[in-house]
Amino acid sequence: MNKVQKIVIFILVFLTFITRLVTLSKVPPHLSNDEISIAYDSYSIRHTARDEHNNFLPVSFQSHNTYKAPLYVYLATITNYFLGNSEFSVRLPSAILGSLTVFVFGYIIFLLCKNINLSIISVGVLALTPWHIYTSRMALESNIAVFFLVTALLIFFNSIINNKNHLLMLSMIFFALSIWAYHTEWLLTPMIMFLLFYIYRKKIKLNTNFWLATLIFVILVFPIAYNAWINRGTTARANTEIIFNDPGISKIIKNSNISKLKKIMIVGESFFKNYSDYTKLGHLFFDGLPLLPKEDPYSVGLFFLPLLPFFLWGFFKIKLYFPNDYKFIYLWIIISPIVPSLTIGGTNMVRNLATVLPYSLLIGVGLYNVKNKINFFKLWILVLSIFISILYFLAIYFYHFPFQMGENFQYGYKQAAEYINDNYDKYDQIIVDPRFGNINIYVGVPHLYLAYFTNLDPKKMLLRSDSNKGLLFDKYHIFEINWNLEKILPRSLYLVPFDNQPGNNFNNLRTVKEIKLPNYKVEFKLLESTN
Amino acid sequence: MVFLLIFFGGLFTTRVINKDLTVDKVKLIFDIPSIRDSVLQHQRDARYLPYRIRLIVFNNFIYVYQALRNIANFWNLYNINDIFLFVNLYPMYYGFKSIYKEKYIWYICVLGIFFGSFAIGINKMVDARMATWFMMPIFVYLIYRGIRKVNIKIYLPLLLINLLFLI
Repeated sequence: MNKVQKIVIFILVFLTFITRLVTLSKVPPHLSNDEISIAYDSYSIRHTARDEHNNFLPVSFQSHNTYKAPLYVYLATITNYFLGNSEFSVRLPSAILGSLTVFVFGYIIFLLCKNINLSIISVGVLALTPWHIYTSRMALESNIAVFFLVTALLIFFNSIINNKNHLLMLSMIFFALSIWAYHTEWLLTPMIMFLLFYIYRKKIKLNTNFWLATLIFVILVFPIAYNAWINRGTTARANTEIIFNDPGISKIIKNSNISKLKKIMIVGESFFKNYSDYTKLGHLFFDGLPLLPKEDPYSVGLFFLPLLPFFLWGFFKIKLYFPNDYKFIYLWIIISPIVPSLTIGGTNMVRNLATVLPYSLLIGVGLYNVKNKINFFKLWILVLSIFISILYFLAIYFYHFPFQMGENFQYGYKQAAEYINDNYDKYDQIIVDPRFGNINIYVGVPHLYLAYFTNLDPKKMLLRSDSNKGLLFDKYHIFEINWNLEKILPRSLYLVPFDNQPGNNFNNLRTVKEIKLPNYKVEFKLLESTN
Repeated sequence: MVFLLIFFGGLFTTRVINKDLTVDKVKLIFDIPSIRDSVLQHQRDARYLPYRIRLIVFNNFIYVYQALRNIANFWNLYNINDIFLFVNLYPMYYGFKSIYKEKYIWYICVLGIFFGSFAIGINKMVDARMATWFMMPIFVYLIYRGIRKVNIKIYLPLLLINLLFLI
């Protein structure tokens, strides 16, 4: 490695960590629905070994009946122990493992092609990809799953290239951890493992190490598989999100007048449509990242737009740089979007995150192949266009995104919790209307935010009651307030959405705080009783 | 002339241009209120930039980006399958390779697809597949040029499977 390469690597290390750690608690502007569930569960597990729903050390976290994979919550208990309850604490595992993913990925490329410049370019692509930066800055199970998957791949290739068969056991552990980390990997990891064992079957020795590694994998995965099996009819995540649960398809499948072949064709077509949506260039390079409202034309793609031609060009050049491994790489590109395509709910760049790796490799190969063929002027145009794209993304991500999308992240609950924390002893009851947004269109999870950011004893949440009268725990009562029926008791605090304010006839309530979104729109009001 | 025919033909088949040759501007992306509103909103919100710079960064040039976005979203695997069957990408690849050195034909094909795609890009329609009718001769020609180079043992079964799914 020469001096220039070392300097470039150092800069990439710096940029990788900077883009993923700077203002981690401020952008995104608030913990999202899924993040607060992970945050609260990690806090609860740390103190009680039970999740929010009183399940003891669960293998699947019930969350908001979305049944999350467990690994992130358990990792977050470690950061919760050292850093307490905060956005930074719960997002840190994702930021660190996301940063490490970049370098593990680069090392795999180097291991396979022995070309340090190609590796550096691929690392640069992944390090600065909007998709990966966005997901590394949120507490997302899929992000840590990608880390465990890529680390497993690195150890696997290390074992077969350097003839270190004993490393297979370690790679199996990481493959298993990726399955513990996220649901997409439940299918993706076995598919990748099958590909690896088939393509490299001549290089894998079927000795004691191999069978021991397989046994370790089966043992580690067994709790997840068993839990999914016993809950297959009801609560397993695979059951709730699978393509067969799409209302239109479900109706067709249940219709006995339609032939089996036709049913297969319809499901196949639906899958193909999803696969097409996940792989279309518009989604990848123009509008795949949910930083702005859907109808906003200034949307950002998962990758930078100037890299589009290199993505396409890379397809034709893989074999040139990976003569021994091109089959695996092409199949890796093809199979990565399969699992998210089997789910309902439209394109979801979180479910499809594992695809960021082979696509970054494609772009890296395209860039590397072209860089020696274009003249100095064209190279500078390319560099300038990528630089402008980076600046544009940073402006949209760090400024416009929190400004416009605060409501989507239930912004305001943390700010309400801060007020409650400072004035907790002033009130005997804290009544919360869980709705928010224009005409109260959304229903949030204020109980989690308030409990988390006020450091409420988790044992009090475990004793909560949930009935048609609302959710009751500690001093909190959470229900949809009807002011016509509401009786204002002394020493009460109300947290209400802007579109459900009490009328002028409520003289015994006064506003103590208005909570505004980053775009200055009033989202919540805190009212206290004056009687 | 050929390119104009493909471009205006694409607009005609999607009824942007009516039978009496009037243009229905409402069906073009230039008439989307949310785009106009977004430009104004971003000009207002981007306070980290001086106002004059905001007008340069956030302006009506966004319609070009929107057109490119529509083109990129249109040419997906599902639409490609509907237009000329997914399996025909295989002979088309060889077709493109074979005409690469015949510059005149290369430019007709590439620019023809470009002009046809542009008609799709400026179209507001969610499904603009009819706009590809005038590009079909180009696709058929490319498939014809490449069909001799494909492995028939791979191509025919894939074609049958593809046709089966289409039925």
